[in-house]
Amino acid sequence: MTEKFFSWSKLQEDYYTKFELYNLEWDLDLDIFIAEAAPNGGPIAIYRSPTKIVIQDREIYKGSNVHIFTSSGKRIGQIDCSKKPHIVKMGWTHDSRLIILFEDGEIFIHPLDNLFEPEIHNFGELCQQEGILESYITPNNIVVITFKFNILIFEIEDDQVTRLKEIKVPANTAITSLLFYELNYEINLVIGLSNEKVLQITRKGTKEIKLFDSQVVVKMDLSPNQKFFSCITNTGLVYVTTENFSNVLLQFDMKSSVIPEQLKWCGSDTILLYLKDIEKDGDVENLLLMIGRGNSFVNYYYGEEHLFITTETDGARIFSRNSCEFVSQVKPCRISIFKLGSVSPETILFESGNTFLEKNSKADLKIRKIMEDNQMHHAVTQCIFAAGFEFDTNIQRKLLRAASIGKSYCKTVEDSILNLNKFEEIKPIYCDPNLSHIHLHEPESTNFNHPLSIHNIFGQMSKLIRILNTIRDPDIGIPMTLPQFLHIGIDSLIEVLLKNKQYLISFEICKFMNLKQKNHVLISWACALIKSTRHDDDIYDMIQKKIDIELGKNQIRRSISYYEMANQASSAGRKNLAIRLLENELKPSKQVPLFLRMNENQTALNKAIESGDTSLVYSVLLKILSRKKYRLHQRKKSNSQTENLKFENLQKSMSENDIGFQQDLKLFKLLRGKPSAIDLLIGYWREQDHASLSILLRGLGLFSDVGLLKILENFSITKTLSTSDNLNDPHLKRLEEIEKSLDQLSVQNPENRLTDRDVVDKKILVLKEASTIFSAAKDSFHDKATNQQIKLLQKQLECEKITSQKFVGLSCSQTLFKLVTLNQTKRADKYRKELKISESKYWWIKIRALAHVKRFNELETLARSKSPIGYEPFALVCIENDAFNQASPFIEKISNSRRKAELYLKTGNYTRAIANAKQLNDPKFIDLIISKKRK
Amino acid sequence: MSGAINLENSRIIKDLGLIRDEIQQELFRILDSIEGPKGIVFENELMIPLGLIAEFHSLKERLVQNVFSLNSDPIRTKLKTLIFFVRPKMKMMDHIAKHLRFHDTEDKSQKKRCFIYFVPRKTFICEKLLEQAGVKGAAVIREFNLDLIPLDHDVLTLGLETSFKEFISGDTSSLYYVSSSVHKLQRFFGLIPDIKYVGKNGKIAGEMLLRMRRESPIDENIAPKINHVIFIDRNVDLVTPVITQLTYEGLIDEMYTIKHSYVELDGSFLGKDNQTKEKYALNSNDILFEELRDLNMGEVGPFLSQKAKKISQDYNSRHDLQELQEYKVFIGKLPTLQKEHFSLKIHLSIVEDILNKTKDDDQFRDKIDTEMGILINNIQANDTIQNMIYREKPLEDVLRMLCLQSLVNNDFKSKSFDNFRREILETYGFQHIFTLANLEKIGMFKKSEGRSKTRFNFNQLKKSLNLISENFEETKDISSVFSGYAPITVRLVQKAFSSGWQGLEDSVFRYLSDGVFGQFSQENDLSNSEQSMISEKRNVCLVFFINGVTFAEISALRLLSQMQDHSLDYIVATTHIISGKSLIESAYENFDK
Repeated sequence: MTEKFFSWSKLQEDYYTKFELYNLEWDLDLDIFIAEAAPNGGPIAIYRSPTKIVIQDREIYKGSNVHIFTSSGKRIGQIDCSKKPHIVKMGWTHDSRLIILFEDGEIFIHPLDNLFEPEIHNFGELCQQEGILESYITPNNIVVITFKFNILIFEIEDDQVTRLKEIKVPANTAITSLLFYELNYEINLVIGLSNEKVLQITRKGTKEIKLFDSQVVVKMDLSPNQKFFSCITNTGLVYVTTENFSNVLLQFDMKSSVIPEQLKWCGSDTILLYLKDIEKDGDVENLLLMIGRGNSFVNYYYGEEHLFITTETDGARIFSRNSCEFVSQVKPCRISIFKLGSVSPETILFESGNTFLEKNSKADLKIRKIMEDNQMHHAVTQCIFAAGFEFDTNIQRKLLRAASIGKSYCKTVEDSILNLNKFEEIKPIYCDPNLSHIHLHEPESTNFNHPLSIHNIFGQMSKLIRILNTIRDPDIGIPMTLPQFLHIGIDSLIEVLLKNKQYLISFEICKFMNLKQKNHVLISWACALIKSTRHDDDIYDMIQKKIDIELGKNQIRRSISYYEMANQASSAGRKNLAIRLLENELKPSKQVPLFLRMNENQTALNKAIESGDTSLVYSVLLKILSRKKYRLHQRKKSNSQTENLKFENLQKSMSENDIGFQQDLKLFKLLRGKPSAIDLLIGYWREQDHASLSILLRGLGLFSDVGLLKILENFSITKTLSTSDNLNDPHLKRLEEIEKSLDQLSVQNPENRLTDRDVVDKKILVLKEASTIFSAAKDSFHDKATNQQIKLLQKQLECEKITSQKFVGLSCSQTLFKLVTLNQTKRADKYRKELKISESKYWWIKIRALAHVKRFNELETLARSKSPIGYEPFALVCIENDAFNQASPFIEKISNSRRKAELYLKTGNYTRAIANAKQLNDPKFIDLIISKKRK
Repeated sequence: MSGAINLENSRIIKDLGLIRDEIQQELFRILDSIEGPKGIVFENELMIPLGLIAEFHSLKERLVQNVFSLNSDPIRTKLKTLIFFVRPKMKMMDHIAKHLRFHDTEDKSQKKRCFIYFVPRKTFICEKLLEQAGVKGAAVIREFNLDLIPLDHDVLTLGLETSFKEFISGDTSSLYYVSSSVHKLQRFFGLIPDIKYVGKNGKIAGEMLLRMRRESPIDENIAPKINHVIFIDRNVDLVTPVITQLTYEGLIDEMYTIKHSYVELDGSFLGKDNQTKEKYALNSNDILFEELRDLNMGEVGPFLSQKAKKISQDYNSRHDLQELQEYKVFIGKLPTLQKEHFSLKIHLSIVEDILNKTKDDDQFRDKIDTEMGILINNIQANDTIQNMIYREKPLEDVLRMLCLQSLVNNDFKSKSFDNFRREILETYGFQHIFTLANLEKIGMFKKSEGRSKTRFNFNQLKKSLNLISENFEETKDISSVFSGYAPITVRLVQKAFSSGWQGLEDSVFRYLSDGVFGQFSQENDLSNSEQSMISEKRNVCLVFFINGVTFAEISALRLLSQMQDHSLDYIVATTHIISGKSLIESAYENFDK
């Protein structure tokens, strides 16, 4: 294994490795192309540089298309930009969407799985007028500086353009370098100018950075962990500083003033410079220069090859004509295993572990020695991790084999517990890029920090290695490293794979790792299928079959969102398929709105009713009503004949071209047999629109309810204007408000107000309408009651006039009662007859009223005539009004002795009570009276 | 003094307090998320429920400087931030729109920030109405999921005080809240394995609960702390709530009205000024009340006098103390003794007051006698009711009696039906035309339409459910809550777990108003061993009364669980707590426009 060690380069204490990931067959001269690669082993997009002369004849060198390749050089898509203005810059979002910025300020964002339907945004007029001088693209932001030095930032997630304060730049000064980043939610724009100034612009303002006096900064870059800033000046000096520019950590003299093509971070620990045409041994060659801490450096010569460097969180990828390489720091676990002459326990385990299987007896001894030294636990861990960082599958296998043998020697469970938080795998370089986010954990568990046993780690790592090997396959071409994978997490990996249209692999990974995204993957697959050209029925069957197989037939357990598939089908113009899919959706709150959007009102209403959720039913009803500008149409002429007809029958008598009426019928058809929906509509209209409600009620044959609705209106007539019909009209509401305020003003000016008479007249008018309806509906009870109320109102008006007291609002009994108390007994007698109040009832009213105002002599006078209710009530009303003495003569008139005794008892007349009780032969009762008396 | 029930180590489900804690935290999160001094505007219905969730001082800590009640009067305040808490009801939207426009026009100098929190959720229609009123943009619209609030260890309420009223008008919105609140309970206490329902609305609620599990799955690995749930539709039994409750708690409700466990009493009862009314919390924080609440009023007097003797004995034992140790023990007991003594004084006052009001009042006695006469002997009480109307007794009492007779005796003959309706309109006012129409609509007071059409048959149920019991005192039967009548609802629960509902279709369910009943089971992910561990404990059954439960019924369920051979504990949940009075009142039409 020493060959491995010899391939490494040493930069001070650290080792670096550069190796080929893929041998590329694209055979491209990267000097002619402008390239941009997505992070974490993502794809690379290229287009031909408009400024370079092309001597090649291949199709790819012609035209203005953007081509997208995997890291393994497989072309996975192209975007036709022939009809667009020049491309200014490209970039990638975190979720693998390609950003293209055009000269006119237009931004196209192409999802990888749907290149032909980009999101389109625009920097707006200012940008178009002034033109783009410089630009910078990060995964979240696109920044442009116009020729007039206006700065515009487009935030992709918020979909908005922010304009920063313009900067003042002296004439004849050019921008030589540009860097943009967000740190702690503050935007930072760093601009290198040809006048040897460097400006840092934030929302707060602009300040000058004075670190690099009398030099022009020509290239800049920020480390992926955002802790270090690096730049190169026109004098050939390379600087690394902290991100706030306060400390220079490194200053490296290239002793050459050749401006490098690229300055890029390799992870967050070294920087890479790509220089063209550097003299070497009398020849000129292209050079990749790596600078590490303490000014240590390595030269990699590439001959005439042109390069493209892209930074990763833990290294860098280098594309050239024939290969895609990866440069990164060698992790300590690998050093300690592979270092020349190493005698560490992990090296011994690695070596003897593999000879052990060849039945070498010394191997066993060596392994036992590790055990005795109590080092097995450490050695196994190192081997497991080294396997994780390894790209070579052979070596992976060997490392895991060694680990597997080693771990079987770990005796107890406690012995094999290891806390990953303490496991510092990567040593920081400049100061402290704390990579504590690298934890291995079970994907399903939410607690990332619990210690795992060594067996768990082994199992987990084996799984992860399998996943990584799968996606590194040239066919998929995602050379993701273990730290990158742990950084983005399995969920994002699945997303990346889906964007790459790798549905099967994603699904297998979900199954393998038992992930919840299984359903999501299935949906993405189904959506892709829906977009294909297959037949509706085929698609439906394929989807259903797949779901049945993969998720089982139990609807509750599988709970997959059919809504998303149906939505996709609907927007793809496959309505029938959409409806079939949507039928399977379990969530009515998702299902109903989509049915509505597809104009499937009937189904939407059925589903809403089934759900039992009234809010959903209302949403359907209101949508239908608003879509049709609904308001049931008042028929012009209504006589009692047609009032009696039901809606169904009305259909025949209506002319065909009465559009409003046709609509009403449609609504009726929709509501037929759905009492719960009808009830809700009634409830809504009761609050909002009585005119429509009364037509609906007529249609339903509920004529008495129509009458009651009129009566309800009668109650809402007050002195101020009321418009119960039009409460839903905001305009009228405002009028009502104005009217009210006028009303308040007009207190001094009574002519403007409705008089009591007006109110009563209006009420009577409405009640008469109600009465007509009731009589047409043969509802005699309500008819009579309404007529009685009309009469009562008229009488009450008279009363108010005579007595100047308030009467309107009282019941019949209360009116008569009040009249009696006001000494208007004669009038009460008259009204009693006219209102057809029964005689018994009237007697009761009278005696209650007289007792209430303590006119006991009148009560006595009344008692002299024959009472239809007997005389007990006389006694009772007296007792109720605490007139015990006055009650006695009435009690005497009662024939029932027990009752007599009881009432006497109430008045406190114990002697009479006992006297009457004695006639009953009920000693208990007498005892009771006596006991009361004692109290 | 805060009267909210102390739920530490709650009696039936130990960590029942969790559900209240969560609501409280959500409220605090809401208040914290809105910076600066603010005012809260409550819809009246929400005032007390929120009081049971958080005390006023904790709102103050969150810069709530004033609390207003939401009605049509404009809110005049200098506060720049207002938070509205409202139920998603159409009427409320009118009020809110008015306020928002008022702030928009009249207070130009004081631009206000308004937030509307819909309780428990916003609905399509309310947002639509705000939009139509042109004020949707004037406020931030959010949700506050206040649902089941514990009133006691075994009583939870949604506080939907107008639920029954909405049902009368065909608006079944509260069913959604019923199901979603149980679904939320399942999140805390595990999937309920057994769902039973009786009545049409019970079925809808049960089915919705099943659907919610599919829609928003919960952790199915929690061992269920609730083993059964029964949804009972109030429509199944409208008889019970109209009868006068005769338990101690029930009678207090009849006499003084209990609102969310608070009752307003004369100040003198609490040893304060006689002129003022004082609020007193009636729940099991008061140990004495816990013992009293379920007793029949006849048992309360003797029980209390015994208790009084015991407490004063304990109290007076201080004169006999000799050893230091004894002193220590006594002083240790002193706080409890003082508390007991205080509560004893209150309850003695209440009992005395109730006895004064009932014993000497032949009308109360008549009322009870008539009710029992109707229930037991199917007497026709027309004359009694007529008399009540003549004397203009409270309309609720008259209607309760009319409904009872209508329900028990298979409705009124057409002539007397019209006669009573006319009498009521003449005496109590024309506006009750709606009250009568509503009661007719829900089948509580109607004319008979021939035998075949009426389904609800009280007389059959009386036999098959054994509703009447003459000697309830000796048998300790649940019928003691109405001095000899056992509520239909509670008997149904009892049957469900004694002999099961199967086989009762012909003798019971076909005589209930809609005859709907049934059962679902929900499987969870627990292994068999975990399951069997659960079954060793005493099982818990959640009885959810849709559209109201009376205190008497809650008492009956408590008595049921104390019965011998009964291995279930009951937790009662309800849309709201009702009495005969409030039930009748929900048939009244509001004219507040």
